[in-house]
Amino acid sequence: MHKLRRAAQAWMQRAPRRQTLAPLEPILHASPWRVRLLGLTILLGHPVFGWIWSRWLVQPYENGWLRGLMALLGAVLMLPALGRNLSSERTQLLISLIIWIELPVFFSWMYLCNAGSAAWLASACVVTAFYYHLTEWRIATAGMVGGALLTGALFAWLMPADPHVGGTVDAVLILFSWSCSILLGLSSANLRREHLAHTLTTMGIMAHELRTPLSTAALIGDAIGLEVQRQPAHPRAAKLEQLGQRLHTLVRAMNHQIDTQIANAKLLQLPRHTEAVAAAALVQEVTAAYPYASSRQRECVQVVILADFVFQGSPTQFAQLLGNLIKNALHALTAADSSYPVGALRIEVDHGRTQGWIRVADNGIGIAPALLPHIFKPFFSSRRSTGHGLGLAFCQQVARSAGGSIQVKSEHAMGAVFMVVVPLALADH
Amino acid sequence: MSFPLYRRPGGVVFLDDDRDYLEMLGEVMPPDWLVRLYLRPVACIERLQQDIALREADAWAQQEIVNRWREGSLLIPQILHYWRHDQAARFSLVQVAVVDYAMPAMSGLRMLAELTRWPGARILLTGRADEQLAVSAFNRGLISQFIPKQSSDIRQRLTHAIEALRHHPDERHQHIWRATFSPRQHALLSQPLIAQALNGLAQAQRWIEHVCIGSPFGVLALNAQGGISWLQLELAENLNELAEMALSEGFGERTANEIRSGSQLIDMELQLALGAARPPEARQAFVIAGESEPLYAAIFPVAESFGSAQAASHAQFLDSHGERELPED
Repeated sequence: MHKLRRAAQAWMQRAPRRQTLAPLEPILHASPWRVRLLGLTILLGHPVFGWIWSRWLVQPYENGWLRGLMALLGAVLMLPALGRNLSSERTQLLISLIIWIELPVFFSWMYLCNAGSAAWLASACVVTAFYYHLTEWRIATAGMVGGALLTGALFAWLMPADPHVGGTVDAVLILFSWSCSILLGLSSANLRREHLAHTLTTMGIMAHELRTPLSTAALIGDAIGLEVQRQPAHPRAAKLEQLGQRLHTLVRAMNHQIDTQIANAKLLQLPRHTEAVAAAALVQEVTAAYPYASSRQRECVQVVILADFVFQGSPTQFAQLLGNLIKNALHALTAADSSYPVGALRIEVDHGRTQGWIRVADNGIGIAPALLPHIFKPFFSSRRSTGHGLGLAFCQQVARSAGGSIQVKSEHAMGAVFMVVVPLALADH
Repeated sequence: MSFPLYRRPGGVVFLDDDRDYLEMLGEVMPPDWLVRLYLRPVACIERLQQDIALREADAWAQQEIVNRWREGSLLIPQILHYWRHDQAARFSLVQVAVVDYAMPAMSGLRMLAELTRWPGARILLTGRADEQLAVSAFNRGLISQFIPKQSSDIRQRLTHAIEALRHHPDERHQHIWRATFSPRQHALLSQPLIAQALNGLAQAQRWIEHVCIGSPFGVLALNAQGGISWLQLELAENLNELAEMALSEGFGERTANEIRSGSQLIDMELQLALGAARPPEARQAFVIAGESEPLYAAIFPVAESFGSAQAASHAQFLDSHGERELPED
């Protein structure tokens, strides 16, 4: 029994790595103009097609009120407030809902009401493909199933008298267009994923290429230092020595930056190596080696070991994770114009019965509540110009790879607390 | 730690395809090293292949000295002749090769694999991603050490690693000179306390090259300027005999007594070996404590005329050959 539990736990620890789910994208290629154009098309399309199907090429069923309602719903997409806030979860939900009603729900309703006329069969098929183009395949598939069920139920309830049920040819055609759409959706999702991987790899290669010139720069710093040692009596010796040191500090900082970039670039392909890591030693090592911008920054860091613990993970990745959190915290302190009092950045190590945690708390500028849901997404950054936005996505991936998680609590102007929670290493028998 | 029977400074070869990096490496390595820089693996391999032949000839020259000693020739004059005759060619032998792993034409490991016959020490410079490769190369004995190229203290790490390996005694030399010792002498030299004291002495006296021989028992050493010294070693039981010799050479009873007590030594055997150009002299002796018994020692200078002097000293050699030029691309 115990063995089984152990095996299950081990499987759970590795599970997150087996399937790294890409985040859902309710609106593909979201841009304000794209959404507005969609709204305009819907707003104009309904009256035009309403007229065509009821006056010119008359179809069995048409409903002016419904057309009006749909056009108005489409007009909502053109609201400027919506376009401004495309990344907010509520906006995305609203847009997804409108698209769902406009496409699968409306078109399957019209198809059913028109007793499967050729015009509406073709329209439904085309719209299926279009739906998969607008939203991600996972959401689209759920929307298609949901839309079909809803309209089917509505139709049975409101139009019980209608005897016609679409023939087998209709069903085959609809299924055919649907599966084609799913296929296209999948392939475009794959393309997006590949694109992301490619971008990250390029970043990694670039970072790597920078290393040798940087090492050369460090050696130049050494050479300057040696020159000074050879002529200690030179009047500018102290200044030269100082410049050499500056060069060294700069190189160290840049190397650290590159480490971060490379680690982040491995986001999608974290190596699977794990070993027992002692939390306190890890924290101490990382805080000691961190390239602080000033000694004040260095001194504001307070490490508190309430209780040390050991967990299974990759030491280099967790060192990188902590480095990322420290970097973010120091940035938040700088943004808050902090005077770096001791304890402005506080790192605590503690554990419970089954879990250990490392708490990184700062008194910095904090994170606006609206941004909180997004900070773990790849390429999201609250610092649009300086951050590349991969740091926290990487952190979360690393924590998950050890079967843990990262939790964040923050209020604007009240600082932030990041808590890395990992399961304690199972004692060996 | 043991006291090497033969030790000399060796050259260091750097191979890296990055011109700037290579140039800066040359710039920051200690000035008293012979440093050669290579941009291309082929040129470096060629140089080290030559090195194999040169080492072979050099080891053979040393072996010949011991062979002739067995036939009755004295060691000291032969060694002095060997140094004089060699001028400074032996200083250009390469002791350590530092090779970059990632090079376009050929990886550092493949390059080293082509040099299996070259006996010097190998250091691999690695990028961060190549560490696993380096560990396995180390385990297979292909390299003596690997150093991440981007480590922030690369200069210090490299300097320390090379310094340790640069003076690493050649096994073959140890083998050649061991033949000149009696088992008892060899056992004494193998004692950690004595070995440590002798190493300390070599450092304090700034000897850059030395050979330790059993007959007569002592160390013949060169400093960077080409000055030669003889460190005479005596066992306690031989002090009486040496005192008798001193008396017969005309030294007073007082000196003889001091020799008996181990506070003075005379360089009888050295002068004999040098052809009795001048009478023996007495010098202040000191004790090298061992685990079982002490050794008595005194340092005697050897007249310049016996050496190759200034012209072929290590310092002079570095002045004339020490330029760290980047090869033509």
